[in-house]
Amino acid sequence: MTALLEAGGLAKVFPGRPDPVEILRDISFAVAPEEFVSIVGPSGCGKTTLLMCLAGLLPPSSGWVRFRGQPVTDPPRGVSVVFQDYSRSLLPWKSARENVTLGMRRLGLGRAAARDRAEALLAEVGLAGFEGHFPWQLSGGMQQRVAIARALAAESALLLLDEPLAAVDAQTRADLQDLLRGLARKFRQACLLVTHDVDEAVYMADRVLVLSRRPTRILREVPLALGAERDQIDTRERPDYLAARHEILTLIRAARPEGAGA
Amino acid sequence: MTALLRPVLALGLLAALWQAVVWAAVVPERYFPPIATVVQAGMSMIARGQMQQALFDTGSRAILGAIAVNLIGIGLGLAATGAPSLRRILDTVAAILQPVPPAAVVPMAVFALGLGWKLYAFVVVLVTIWPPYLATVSALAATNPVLLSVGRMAGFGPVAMLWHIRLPAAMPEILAGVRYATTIALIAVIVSEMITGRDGIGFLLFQKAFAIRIPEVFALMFAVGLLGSAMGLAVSAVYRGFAGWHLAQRGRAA
Repeated sequence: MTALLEAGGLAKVFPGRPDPVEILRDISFAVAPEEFVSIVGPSGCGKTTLLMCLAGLLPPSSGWVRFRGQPVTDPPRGVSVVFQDYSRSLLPWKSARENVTLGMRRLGLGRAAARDRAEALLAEVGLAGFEGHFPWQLSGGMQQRVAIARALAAESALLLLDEPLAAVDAQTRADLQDLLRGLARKFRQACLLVTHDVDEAVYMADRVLVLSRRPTRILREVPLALGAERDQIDTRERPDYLAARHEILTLIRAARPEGAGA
Repeated sequence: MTALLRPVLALGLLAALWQAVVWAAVVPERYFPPIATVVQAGMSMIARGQMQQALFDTGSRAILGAIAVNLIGIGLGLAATGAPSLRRILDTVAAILQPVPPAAVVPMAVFALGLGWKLYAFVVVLVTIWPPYLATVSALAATNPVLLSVGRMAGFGPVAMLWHIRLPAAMPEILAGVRYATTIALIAVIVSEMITGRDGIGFLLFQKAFAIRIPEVFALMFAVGLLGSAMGLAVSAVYRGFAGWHLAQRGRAA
């Protein structure tokens, strides 16, 4: 199967004082259509930088990114991002509905069609009845649902998820994990989830990439076969789930910088 | 209901306090007349048409000046955002001219520009343009980077980004600059009128003060206060129109 997204020899160095800061060193991997890949790594290993490079929002210092075989220099059509900080990624002067239609801008839909689709998507993420609410009138979990609906609105083949659930409470987090996985399957989208939460990475994914500490490389690729249907209780008790979790946690503990907190 | 009641209560309280000071006789009554005397003086100025004329002269200068200067300031801010070399020049000019008070500009301008509208236009522009300009430049440069990423993912080019993301996000800060400039515009006009000595509330304030017609001076002060409040309310209405979300958001966070 041909890859949807490919990265080769990706590196990112930021100019800094007194020395340049090398964040990424030699990242190569591919994501197949409809595949769910998680990327985990120790804190501060440049996960967000990697995602920005993949999305075409940040030029890499060297190496390349291709989406559907085309080199990525600007954000390509067919890729959407759900940002970590929903309180900053939603436009506070626009309603939930208008924030979602923003995601459809590149589809060239008419006003009425865009509005109908936005309302359908908001219903899909469980926000029917909140279309006219502004972001600051919604709870954190609800705001992130709006951001998810906006990412879905672009009808993208690939969703890049930058720790999308890091700032919500545990119960909301579990709900949104299942929602995200369900919708990605329903709309036949590939997902690349960047997270520091090993449990979440394993629970959601078909494959996990484990990153080293900075300068960051891929330490190991952990394939999973947890099945298409996941369950918050049963999946997390499967022996292969626990084995993968153990393997990844061990790698990350070893990769943590000296003196980092427990 | 409460929105209407509050200013009435405030005015009542002010009148009571005023009267208390008069009765306590801390200041000679000649220089601090009872409130009724002030109202009477104001009514007689209205009856002679003097008050309306002065309010019209000062009001039209300050209001037209504030509107023009805010539009020019925001326009310059947009232009400077697009052209860094223009921004460097304007920032230097702003740094030199911004601290100059209106009173320091008028004597020179009287000789160069005469006593007509050109003088007021010059003084108001020179001292008032910087708050909206600086607010626009700094707010447009400080758009939250996540919103810029969101715009880029939506396929926005530079113009669409400015219109849909950067400008709306900058509105609360820009309008804070507009509010400040609107206040200074009124001050600049009144100071200019005091120095040119031909017409307007500033001129009347000086004239009545030197004639020791204290109740009329106080009546004029109230008139300026009302004019300033009206201009402030107009700015608030604009703020609600363009950045109401910011007030609501803050109100919720508080």
